[in-house]
Amino acid sequence: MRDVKVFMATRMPIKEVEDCLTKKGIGVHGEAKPCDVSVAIYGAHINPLALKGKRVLIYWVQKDKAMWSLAFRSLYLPILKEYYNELNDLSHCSTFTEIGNEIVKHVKKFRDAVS
Amino acid sequence: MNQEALKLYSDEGIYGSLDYGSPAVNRGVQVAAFLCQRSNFHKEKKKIHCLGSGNGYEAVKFLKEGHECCITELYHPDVNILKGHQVKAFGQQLPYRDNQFDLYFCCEVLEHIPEENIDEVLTEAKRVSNECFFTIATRDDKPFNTHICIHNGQWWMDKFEEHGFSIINAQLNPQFMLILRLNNQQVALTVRFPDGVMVNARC
Repeated sequence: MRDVKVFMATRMPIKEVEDCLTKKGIGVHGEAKPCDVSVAIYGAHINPLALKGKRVLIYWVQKDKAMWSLAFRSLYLPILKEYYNELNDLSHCSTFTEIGNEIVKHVKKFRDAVS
Repeated sequence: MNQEALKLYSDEGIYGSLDYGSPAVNRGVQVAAFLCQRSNFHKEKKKIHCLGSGNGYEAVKFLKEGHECCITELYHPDVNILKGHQVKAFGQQLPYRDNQFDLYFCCEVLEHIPEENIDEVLTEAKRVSNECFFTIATRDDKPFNTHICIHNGQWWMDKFEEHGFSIINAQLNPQFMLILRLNNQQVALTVRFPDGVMVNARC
């Protein structure tokens, strides 16, 4: 099986999400070195073109930050669509652990596709 | 300078950095969205020239709104929607006809240009377009240090006056309001640039 490395791009590393991935044997590293999948969480503050491998953007509606969520989805998301290979709206998830599990599913899909 | 600039504004240069040119830090998206909500931008398709749009976010915004857009940049990011719209040239020597564009858009670019070239860049802006819209940062950009022409707002206003631009709107430390719509929701977002100049002028 191919060892898929994930780079998680966020200004605020989310430990619960990282734990989900590492528990499933998915290596997460914190620098934009060559990797198979780059997962950007939100991404308004990240240069998408510096991400290596397949570029995946994940986002969700943050109920406690309704204004920011709307600004992100209305202003930035239509633009970011052009810079990422895949976009995932994880608004149905209610915890970071669920978000982590969704990313695990995505990486598994990618790993199956390339192995 | 030209070779240095080509190297600096490339994937091997600052565009290889995760922290440089993100959509939120790059103010082009916000400023382009502000222009697109102007009534005359709704009514007709505009021919827009973007100087130095970096990753190209503002050009993507203009294209998605149905406008024609031509980007003059040293850096040509590999983004499908931008293909066919990118020209590699310097702002002081634009390969376009007189008055070819309805709008010359230049967001946070002039501060990256050596001071000795600013006059030529403004002369070219005036030549190729009927209207221009600039935002200019008046501070440094540590740790990247790509801002090499740092002046206060008055210095920039004097430059525009010297070149005979007819000012429509000019603001120091500008702020403007964006109306954001999504499904049935609508909110007003106030955008503030506390360290810059905004100039909208007829050429």
